[in-house]
Amino acid sequence: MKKTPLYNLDINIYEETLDNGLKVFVVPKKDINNIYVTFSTNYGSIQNEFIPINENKMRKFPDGIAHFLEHKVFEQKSGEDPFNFFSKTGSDCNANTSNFKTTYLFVTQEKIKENLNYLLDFVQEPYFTDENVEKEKGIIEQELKMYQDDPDTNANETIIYNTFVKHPIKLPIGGTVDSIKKITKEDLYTCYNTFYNPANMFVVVTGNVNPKKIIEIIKENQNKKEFKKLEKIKIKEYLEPNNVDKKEETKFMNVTVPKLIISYKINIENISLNDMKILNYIGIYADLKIGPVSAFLEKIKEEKIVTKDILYSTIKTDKHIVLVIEASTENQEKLLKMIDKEIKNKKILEKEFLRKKKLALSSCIYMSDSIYSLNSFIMNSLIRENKVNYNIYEDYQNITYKEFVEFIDKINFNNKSILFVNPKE
Amino acid sequence: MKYQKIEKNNYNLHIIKTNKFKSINLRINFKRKIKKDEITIRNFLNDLLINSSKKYPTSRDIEIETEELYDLGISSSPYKSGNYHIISFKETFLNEIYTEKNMIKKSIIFLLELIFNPNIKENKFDKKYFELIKKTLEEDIKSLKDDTKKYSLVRLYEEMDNGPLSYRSCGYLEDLDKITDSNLYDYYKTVIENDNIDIFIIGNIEETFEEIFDEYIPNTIRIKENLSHYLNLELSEEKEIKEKMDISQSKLAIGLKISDMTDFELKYVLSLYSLILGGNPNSKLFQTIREKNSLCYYINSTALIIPKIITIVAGINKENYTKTIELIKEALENIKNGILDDKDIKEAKKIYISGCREIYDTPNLIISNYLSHEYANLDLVDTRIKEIEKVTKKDIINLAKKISIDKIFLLEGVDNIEKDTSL
Repeated sequence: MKKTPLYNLDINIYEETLDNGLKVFVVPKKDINNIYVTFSTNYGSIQNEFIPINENKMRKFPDGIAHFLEHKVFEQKSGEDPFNFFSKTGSDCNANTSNFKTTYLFVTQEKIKENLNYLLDFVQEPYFTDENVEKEKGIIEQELKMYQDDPDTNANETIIYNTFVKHPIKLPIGGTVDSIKKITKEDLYTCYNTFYNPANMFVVVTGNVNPKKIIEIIKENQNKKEFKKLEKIKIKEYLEPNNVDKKEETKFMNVTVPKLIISYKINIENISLNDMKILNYIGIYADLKIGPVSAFLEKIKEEKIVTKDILYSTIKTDKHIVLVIEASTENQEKLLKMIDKEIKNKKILEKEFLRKKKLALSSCIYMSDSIYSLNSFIMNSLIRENKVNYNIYEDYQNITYKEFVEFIDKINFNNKSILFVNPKE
Repeated sequence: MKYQKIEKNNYNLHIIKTNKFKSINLRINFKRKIKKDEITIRNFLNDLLINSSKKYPTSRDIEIETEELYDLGISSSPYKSGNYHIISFKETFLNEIYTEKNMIKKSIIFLLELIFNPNIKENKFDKKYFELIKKTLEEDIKSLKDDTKKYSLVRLYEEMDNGPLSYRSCGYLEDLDKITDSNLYDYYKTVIENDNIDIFIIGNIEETFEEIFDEYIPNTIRIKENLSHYLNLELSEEKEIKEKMDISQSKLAIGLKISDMTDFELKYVLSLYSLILGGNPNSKLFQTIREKNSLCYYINSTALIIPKIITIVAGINKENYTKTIELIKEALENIKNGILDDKDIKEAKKIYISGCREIYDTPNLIISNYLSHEYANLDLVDTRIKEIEKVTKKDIINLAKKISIDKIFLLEGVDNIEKDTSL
């Protein structure tokens, strides 16, 4: 068990890698009632074509299978529903699937040993039958339809679909009603056996716990189980081009005010910064250009081109970072030209950048005060860089205006996809 | 954790001292008796004050200052609380131990500046931001239907009541049209001078900061209304309402009313009943309608204590409407007939209690707990944990017998077969 402090944040992280490859991280936090436990696999919607364990050929699986699998992992041979088990101690249990990972989680205040063992067991003892796979299709169909009816989700899925050409991040995490209908019990077992191997998984525990005890519980549990040895999983690589798949589209949805969505697809292969810096710098850039602190937003609000803030988000793959910008406006064409011009005008003042740096340092302190933020921070570090960044605070202290400007100078905003969302009537 | 309440003529100050958090949270609430035609103007004030002030004329100025104050967070929200309407300002900032000296005072003053020193010129609100907020509110009101889940609940409440429950929180266009930059200022003055003000501050603090609040809050005597927050809705016959919309999933919203509850039933049995019925993934509705019959992805019930109702919401295919309703009614009947295990009650109590304990982990939930005690005489966490244990199976069955379906609202989607979700 290794203990490392999170620099300057009064937090210690305990970590150990077990014999079977499972990584465990524990962050004790006294005075808090809750204990938050997450159990994740490096398997999300984008790992959709790979060489399954004990096989030797690339195989493609139906879109949305990682998310489908997440639902089905809850199925137990005993017939017991995990929700039911966790309810006994008043604990919350849930799961989620992203582009990059699948996470099973619970929040509890008591019987940590029983609950932790149960989580490990239900995730590690799958029970799929033709019947229970069929039954799930109706539920997931309703889940996908719920997302469809939400204009923001629908618009976001569309712009990502139009931005990427080959990369599977293009597709919605849940797949489509058609694709999930094709999923079989056998598919699920193949994906499960490949990605739910402990060597591809990690546990993160944050809250009112004793780290030594937690690691003992997990060790004892894992020692009773046998797993096949996992070589590095070969996942299909995609030669994703720099151009977007579709430059422009107009969609009609249940919106009152029309929307404009722009995505900039930026190649980052020649950038030598780590993921954290790239994501931060692009975020700082977007915020200073079109965010609430920008003169730009103030101006277009004054001109009544928009009334609400412009929203933005980022998605990063191995070769690209995509900046998605979304605004509600009656004046789509004019706003499009204005945003495009503003984003391409790379001038940023040093004093503006330094304010953002102050903000980043403060956000580290906020993060260190929440068992949920701490847990997410560790999970995201592991997914992105396969290790925890213990010096995150120091890293933020060391970001410089010069490095930021050099980064912004290198990237280009020439490849974009545009989506106009208009009211149905 | 130490709680102290200082009552003054012009405001109540509630101080919660704890060293559990690195941040400090401040909440300032303005409350008065709800009137349908005042909701829109109160929304207007709520939005305008947080976007523009004398010292920080634009929202950009405000945003820049929040960054200077080390990532300080502000928000404001207007909401209905039974017979009252509340405008609530919230602020979160880091304790100055982690930033620099005097930041606590500076941060408190920042919020007070926004609320009490608005951008007024010649007895009118500054035209620019007035117009901007007016347009935003107009869009908000017009786009109510964009969020179909929320819209079905709004429609359900309108069918269940003619009083405060039915009032739309987003306001009304006809009221918005009447608001001018000068009558808004008149209304603002009545809020600042007459509304009941409660201030909550929680964190590792040594002072009460009373003198800062005194400096900003007008020293006028505010009348305390006798009217309670709780609503007493009239019972009526079960009725079904359907509205069509071009969506792929139909949204179901059901409202239940309860006759003659005792104080204990209202505060405890009702919440426990709802937890068992549809308040968690192990509940009757989730297990029957989702897990056994695959009819939906989400279904849940919520107990609303102030209006004394329960709501059930679900997203379904429209052809499954009848079957879903049958199953929901069966679940309601089953509890009435005592078909529930002691285990169900025990687990619901556990969930309730861990929810209570969780309050202690989050500054804003601690504030809300004291607030509901102040406003609606709901018990504080420690009492809640003791009282909930007293609820028996008989209590649940007795309450179930008093519950009846009042309205069933369906926002009906288009034909599901031809409209697929493929891109």
